[in-house]
Amino acid sequence: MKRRRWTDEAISAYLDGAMSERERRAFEAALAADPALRRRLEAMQEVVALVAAMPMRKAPRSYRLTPEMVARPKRKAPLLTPAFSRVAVLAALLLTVAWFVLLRPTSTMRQAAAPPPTTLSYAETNAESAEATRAPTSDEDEGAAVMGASAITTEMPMAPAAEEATEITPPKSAQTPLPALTPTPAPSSPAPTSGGRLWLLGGAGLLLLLLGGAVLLRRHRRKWKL
Amino acid sequence: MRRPAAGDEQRAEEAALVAAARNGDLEAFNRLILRYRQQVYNLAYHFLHDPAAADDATQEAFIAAYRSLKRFRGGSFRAWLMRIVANAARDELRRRKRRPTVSWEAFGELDEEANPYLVDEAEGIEARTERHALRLALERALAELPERQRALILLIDHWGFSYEEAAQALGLRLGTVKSGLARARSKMRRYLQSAGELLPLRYRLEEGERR
Repeated sequence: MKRRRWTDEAISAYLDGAMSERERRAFEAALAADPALRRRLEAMQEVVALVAAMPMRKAPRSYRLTPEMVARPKRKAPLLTPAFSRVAVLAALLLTVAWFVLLRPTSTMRQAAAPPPTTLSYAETNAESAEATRAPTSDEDEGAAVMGASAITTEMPMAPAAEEATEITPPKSAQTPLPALTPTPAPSSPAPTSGGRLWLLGGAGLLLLLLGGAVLLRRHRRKWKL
Repeated sequence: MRRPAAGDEQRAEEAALVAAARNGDLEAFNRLILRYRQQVYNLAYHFLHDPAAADDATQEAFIAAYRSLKRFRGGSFRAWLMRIVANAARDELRRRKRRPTVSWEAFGELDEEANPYLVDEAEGIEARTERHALRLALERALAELPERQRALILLIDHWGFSYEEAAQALGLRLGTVKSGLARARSKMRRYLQSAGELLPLRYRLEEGERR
């Protein structure tokens, strides 16, 4: 029978009683028959005994702690004061209200007063709808979908028709979509139902995000020293 | 081979001290310090090889431990404490790499031999000399090991940590502890067999099979 070569790891594990029962029995049988293995085991035992007997250095002092030593240094000016966090919550609420009141797809005049968010939100919502319909069949990359969606908003701001979105994807027209939008981004007729739904969804998402933020803020207030 | 773990009574007392310290009882924490300061200081020393830096790391570790005691979630307190000191020592090593200072050997013996307050008068000169020689020889052997193996062999073979405690103290997996410890023991054996003359006579290893 070929003799098994026991590793140092096995010897070490045997010393610590960290072998499985089967391994231990095999190891002990090998020990009985192999003087070289016995010598290796003894040498390792000697090392363990030496390290156990190793004189340690004496710690140079007691390390007793006093209240002054463990007092945390006071922060001069906290980054976020409670007042500030309250302001943040208020601002978040205002933002939500603004979303519903100012950015309604039907309120034409107000949209014109605040063009950049409008264009952005339309670009996003259209991109979402385009993405949603094309995803299963098309294997174009995502960037193209967003570009296509922006292209729609440039040429036909009120058309969320997703089938067309995949067709109209000229990268060049998509390169300057947003500035072109600003003059007449707003619909003059009531928003189509899918646009309205997306607007509602977006608002709800924003509200959820804000609520989540507020809960997080409340939960970690102490840890973050707010 | 493994020394028995701390007795139940001792463990219960320790748990009570930890609980009191968590509630802000600094005196209870000072009793824990008294219990572990040698271990903490020596582990720091074996990372840093510089008594002054080990002293700083020990102090830093105890303060950090007290402040973060609320985050201790039970289990082995000493393993948790050793993790803090190992991290403090590693941080110090990293700082030193960024701005190298004089080598530790240049400091010479800045410990009890050089400090009359730390000398045990009851110990005879011969015994003290032998203890000193043994310690130096083993420190030299340990210094040959990589940092992790050095810490493993000290925690397990000197202070009797279990594999689990050592894994917790050094942030390792159990398998790594097992293999690292075996490597550390083998390397120590080879070193002590080849440089046995450094050891006091009665501690010298026999020439065994070398691998």
